[in-house]
Amino acid sequence: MNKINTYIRPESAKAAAAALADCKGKAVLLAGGIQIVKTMPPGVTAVVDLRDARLSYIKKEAACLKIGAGTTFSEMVASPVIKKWAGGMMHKAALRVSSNMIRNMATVGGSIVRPYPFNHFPAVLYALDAKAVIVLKGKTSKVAIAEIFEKELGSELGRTAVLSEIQIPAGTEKWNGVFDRVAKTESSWENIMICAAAAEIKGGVCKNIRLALGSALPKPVRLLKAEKSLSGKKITDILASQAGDIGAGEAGSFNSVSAPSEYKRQIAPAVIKRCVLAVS
Amino acid sequence: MTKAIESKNDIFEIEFTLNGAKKAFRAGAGETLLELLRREGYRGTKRGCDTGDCGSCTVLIDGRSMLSCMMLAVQADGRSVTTIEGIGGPADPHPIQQAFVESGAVQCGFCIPGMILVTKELLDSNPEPTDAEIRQALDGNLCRCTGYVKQVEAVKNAAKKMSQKAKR
Repeated sequence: MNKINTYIRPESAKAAAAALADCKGKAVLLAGGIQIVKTMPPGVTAVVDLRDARLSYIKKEAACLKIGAGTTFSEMVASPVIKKWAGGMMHKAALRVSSNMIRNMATVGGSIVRPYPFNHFPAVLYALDAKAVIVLKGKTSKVAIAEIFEKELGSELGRTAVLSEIQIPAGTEKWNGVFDRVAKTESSWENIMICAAAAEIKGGVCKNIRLALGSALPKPVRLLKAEKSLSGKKITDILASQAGDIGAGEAGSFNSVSAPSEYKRQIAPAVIKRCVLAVS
Repeated sequence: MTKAIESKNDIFEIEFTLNGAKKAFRAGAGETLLELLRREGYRGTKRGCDTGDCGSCTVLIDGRSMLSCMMLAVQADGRSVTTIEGIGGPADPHPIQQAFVESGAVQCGFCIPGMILVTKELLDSNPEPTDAEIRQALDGNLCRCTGYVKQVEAVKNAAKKMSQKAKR
C-alpha cells in the first residue's frame, strides 16, 4: 500500500480538478474507492476524495437525465426514475453490481473512469448514447461516452480530469432497454460477457437500436454493423440470429478474463441474439 | 471550502463518531479502516478476504453497510461508524443478535457481525422485508459453514422482534 500523506476533500468537481493539478501527478481521485484503494498507482501520495463534491444526484430535465458521477449504485437502484428509464435497464445493471456493500460504496462515475472489463455501466451507457461532463484545467466540456473508451481521454480521468456527470438523452426514456450478462453464478461479479441493448420500436419496426458488449473485450464495444442489420426492420428470430453473428464477428478479439476467449466467441452470437429479441 | 489533512510522520490525526461517541484517532498513511478498528480493539470487525469479496469486515458508515477493508482509515474522518460492538453485547444483545442465536444461524460465527450489521441497515429502512429482499441484502456476506436458510429465518425473526419492541 502506498503511503498517502495528503487527504483532500474538495467541495466541487472544479475544486477537485484544481487539487489534482496542484498535486502535479501525485494525486488520485477517490469516489467509492472500491478499485483505487487496493490498486493505488505507483508514486501516488495524495488522495482527492469526492465525497463532499456534491456529485450524488439524479435529475430528470427536459433534454436529458443527469446522473452525478458520485451517485452510488444503491442510490440508482432506489431511484424511481432509473427504475423506469429505457425499460429499467440501468436499474437492473445497478442491482446486479456485486454485493449490497459494494453497491453502497461504488459509483457510476467510478465504473467509467476505471473501466475494468467486468463493470456493467460502460456497455449500458454506450447503448443509451450517454454523454460525459468532464472538468479539466478549470474548463467544463461534454463528450460522447465513447470518447472515454476509444480515445486517450480515459487515461486522463482521475489523474488530471474529473468526470462530474453522466447525461442520458431524454429521447431514450421510452425506448426499450435490456441489460444481460453471463457469469458463472448469479451473484458473481466476475462477468464473462455483458450485453446492453436499447431500441426505439414503433409499430413493431425497429426505428433505432444501439447494442454494446462489455466484459468480453479489453474495452466495451458498440456493435455498429449488427445495429445496421436491424435498423428499419421488424425484428424476427432469423434477423436476431443474423445480428448475433454479425455482432460477434465485428466485436474483434475476445479477452480471456474470467473465461477462455474461444468460449466467449462461441456464446457471443447467442447473447446478442437474446438481447435483440428481448429489446424488440 | 476544500478540506485537506496532511499526515505528520505518516500519521493522520482524524476524528469520527464510533458507536455513538466522537473520538480522535491516529490513522497510518495507507492504513485501512479495518486495520485501524482492529488495532483499536474492535475485533468484531473481521478480516476475511481483504479484497471486498466476503463481507466479514462490514461496518455501518452513516447507517449504510460498507466494507472497511476497502476504505482508507482517513476516509472515516467526520463520519459515523458503527461496528458490531456498537449494536449490542452479551449483556445487552440487540434483538437482531438474539434472533440469530435463537434461529441457529450462528455456527463458527466469523461472518455473523457483518450479517448483523447488514440486517440492521435493512430493517432500519424496510421493517418487513421479503425473502428476496433479505437475500439481496445479504448477497455480499459469505458463510462457509452453512447454506443461508437459517440466516434468512433469523432476519425474519429479528424483524418480528423489532416490530414487537416498537409496538410496546
